[in-house]
Amino acid sequence: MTARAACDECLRRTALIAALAPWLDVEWRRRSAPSRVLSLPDDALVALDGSGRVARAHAAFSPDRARERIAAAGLTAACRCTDGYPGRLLELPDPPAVLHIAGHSDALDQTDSVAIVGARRGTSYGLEVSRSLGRGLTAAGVPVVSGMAMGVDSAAHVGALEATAPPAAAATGSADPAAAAPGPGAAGSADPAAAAPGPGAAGSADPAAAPPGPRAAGSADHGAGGHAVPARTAPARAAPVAVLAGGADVPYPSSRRRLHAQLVERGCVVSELPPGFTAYRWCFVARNRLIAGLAALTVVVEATERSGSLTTADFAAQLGRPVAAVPGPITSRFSAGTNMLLASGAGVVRDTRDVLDQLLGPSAPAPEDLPPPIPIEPRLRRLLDAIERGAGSLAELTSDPEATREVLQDLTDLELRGLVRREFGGRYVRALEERR
Amino acid sequence: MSLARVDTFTIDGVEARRVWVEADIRRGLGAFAVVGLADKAVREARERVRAALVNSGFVFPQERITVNLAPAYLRKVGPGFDLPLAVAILAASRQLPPDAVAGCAVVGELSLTGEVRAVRGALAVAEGVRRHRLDRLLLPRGRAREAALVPGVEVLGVEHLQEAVEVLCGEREPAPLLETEPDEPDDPDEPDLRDVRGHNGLIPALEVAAAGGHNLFLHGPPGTGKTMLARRLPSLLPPMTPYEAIEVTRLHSIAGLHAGGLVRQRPFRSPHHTISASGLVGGGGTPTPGEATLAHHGVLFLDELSEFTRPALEALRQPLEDGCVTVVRAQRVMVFPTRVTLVAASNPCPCGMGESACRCSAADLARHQRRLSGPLLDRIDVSVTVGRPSGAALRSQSAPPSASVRERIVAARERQTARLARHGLTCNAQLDARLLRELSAATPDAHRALYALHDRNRLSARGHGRILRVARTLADLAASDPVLPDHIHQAAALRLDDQSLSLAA
Repeated sequence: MTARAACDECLRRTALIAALAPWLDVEWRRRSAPSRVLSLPDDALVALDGSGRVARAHAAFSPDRARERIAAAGLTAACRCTDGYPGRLLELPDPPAVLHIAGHSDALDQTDSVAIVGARRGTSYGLEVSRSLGRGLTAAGVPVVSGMAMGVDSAAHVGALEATAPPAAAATGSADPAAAAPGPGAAGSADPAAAAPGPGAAGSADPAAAPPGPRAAGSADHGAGGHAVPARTAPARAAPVAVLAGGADVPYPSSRRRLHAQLVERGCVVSELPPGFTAYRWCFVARNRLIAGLAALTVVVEATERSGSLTTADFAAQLGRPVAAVPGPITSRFSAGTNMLLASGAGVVRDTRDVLDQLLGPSAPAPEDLPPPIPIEPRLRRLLDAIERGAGSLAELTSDPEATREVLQDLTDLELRGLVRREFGGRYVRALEERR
Repeated sequence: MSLARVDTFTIDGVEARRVWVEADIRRGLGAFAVVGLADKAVREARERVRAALVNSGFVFPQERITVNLAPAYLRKVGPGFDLPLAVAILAASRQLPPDAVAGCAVVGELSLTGEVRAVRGALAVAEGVRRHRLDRLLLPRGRAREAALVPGVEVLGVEHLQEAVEVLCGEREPAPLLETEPDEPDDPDEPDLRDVRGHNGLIPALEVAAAGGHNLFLHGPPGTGKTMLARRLPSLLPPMTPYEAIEVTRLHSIAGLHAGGLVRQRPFRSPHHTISASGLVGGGGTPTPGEATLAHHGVLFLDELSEFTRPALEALRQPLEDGCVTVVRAQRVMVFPTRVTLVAASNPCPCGMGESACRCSAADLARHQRRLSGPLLDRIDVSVTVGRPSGAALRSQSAPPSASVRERIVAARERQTARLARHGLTCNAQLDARLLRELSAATPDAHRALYALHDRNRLSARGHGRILRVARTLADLAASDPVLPDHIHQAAALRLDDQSLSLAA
């Protein structure tokens, strides 16, 4: 059991950074290496404010008030002087003084996690890949870290949550060994509001998800005792982790409130800034360094050439951690950044297995006994080929009104087999085959 | 002292209400007062009536004239009171025998020369005449054909005040009604499906929407033909029944959209997205019907659905469910019929360029999708993506003519009517959850297929019902009594997911 606490000095520094936040945007831009600012010692930071107001507040700081506020927001704090602090973050040149954690703080003790990041304005391809990776990695016992931003980040969290569906929902899916996995103490988690139904066939007879791998063993520590954590349930195996730019108790963007609630319930949401804090511009870059710092491997799913996701990749590279990227069409500007990463040597991610290989070495347990893909009828094959070539609307798939009935039927057939996906409005796209 | 009374009608919402014009002439200083909650147009009638009477060779009494419009609580609107006013004054001043106007309703606007001009809502007035058991209706000749659609009313169409008096006195036969031209079921100008090129694959979606009365959603980039397809949906709907045609004619006549005989084509209304809520469903201080009512028994097309204001879309939700709008004002409640097939269209994103060229930010997209996922999508059963047809498709594909597709639709509607008539419904789209369970006649296999889809796609209960409703229509189109698994699968490929939007973006 890891005790989590924060010492007075670290809380004082956090309050100082929060108080200086409005000035740091400017400061951040003045210094060429962004992280320099956050690694300055306290007195150098205090000196940034000429008025002396911050200095007075700094001197008058009360750690007990700060602890009260953290507890009132339902958060746990862990500072870099204590054991409860994730060791990986200490490798950063400027590890945050205090991590504020909403949800299961144990989720931070998990071993090798993977960051999945990407464009806020993802294409449906990016969202699909991100969600599939999130789901696949989580099912394979690898925790997913991301930033809860719109687009790719959220999709990764959604995928991860699908694979950590609460037992009530997961138990409905046939005799599935993976469904029984969520471990001890998971009994009371049947919260109907959060019961996102399991991804149907997704979990069916998947050997990769079954082994009680050594990776998962580390998280068997369910001691949330003594903390003001709403720990109604144990964290899921491979619990998802979200890192926010503002306070960990503030869902940002606010449209992701439900996602935030689910992450808190089944994983955790962390931030280096105090509860209730509203993010400034620099906070997002600072947040990206934490994502890179927490993960053993960073995967960029989709990014334009100027995307903020690339800063996450930069931070990971500075830490000497591997970076991987999902290739995309060279004509799509949303893949320009990822393709650039690939050109400069990032690992190629085609599916979850590629990520696992890069994370654990090619010796990762290979699901050799995966059943061969079910052969499909020539008629469906032709339809699938057309969809793979990018024909998605009914008019593109058939030219004979009389034959359309058959096409409609075949489309649902392909959809039920998980080969295609129907987008909003009614366009069909190729789905990622769910092999994990 | 003399008094006369003439019957007339005013349009109140979509109904004609009986009004008595009482004229009283007594000795005194020359004066002409109109009382009885008359609006501006009615008060202006004094000047028109005075000039028209004099210019038609009658005497305008230089005495104290009081005209009362009864019942006094009813607001009288519009210029249709000119002619009854003039007739009442003529009768009161004995220039016309008072019994000549007995049992005769009079409506019409007057010009200063005494010419009788057209008014709105002649059909509604004629229905009012019959309802109140009057015998005759004197009205502008241009509206005579329309009024004559109501049986049992003697229609007197006149062009001039002079002529009106002669007709009333029996000195002259009313001009015969223009011979109605033979009914043409197919107007060559009506947009026909055969003009559509390159969208053959989408025709079954239109067919299903038309056959079951299902609301339709067209999703796709601009310029691909969404409007063109929507415009052709009325031509696929079964011809209106005489009763429906009369209803539509009455509404259009009241709105001033129509002149002449019976409306035979199903209406198609496509209001611009800047329309207000009351413009869409009706309202205003004096409630008037909105676009949804004008599309009654036809198609209401909302292009750029996400651009409509939220109040407007919210206001439309209940009417789509109930088939009527209830407008409540301080003094009264008015009900306008709105049984429409809704066709909504939307671009994939605010800039409309589609995924690869799109320049919209994540926030723009989120806003667009939030507005789309609003209240109206709940009421939409069929959704298809309209893509840009390729050059080859444009050259090679042309759709079958509407008439041939309509045959199947008419047959499918007949099957529905046979099943639904005793529940007071006309098409599958009106089935609620309970009736759907009772009447869908889905085989156990079909239910299993539906549950498989349910598990796979996380359908909502509502999504579940939509698929079953559309499957029922597909079965009707295929002349199948039970709903088979194939129909469920076909319907699923036309469904509208409300979840795929909110998932991630």
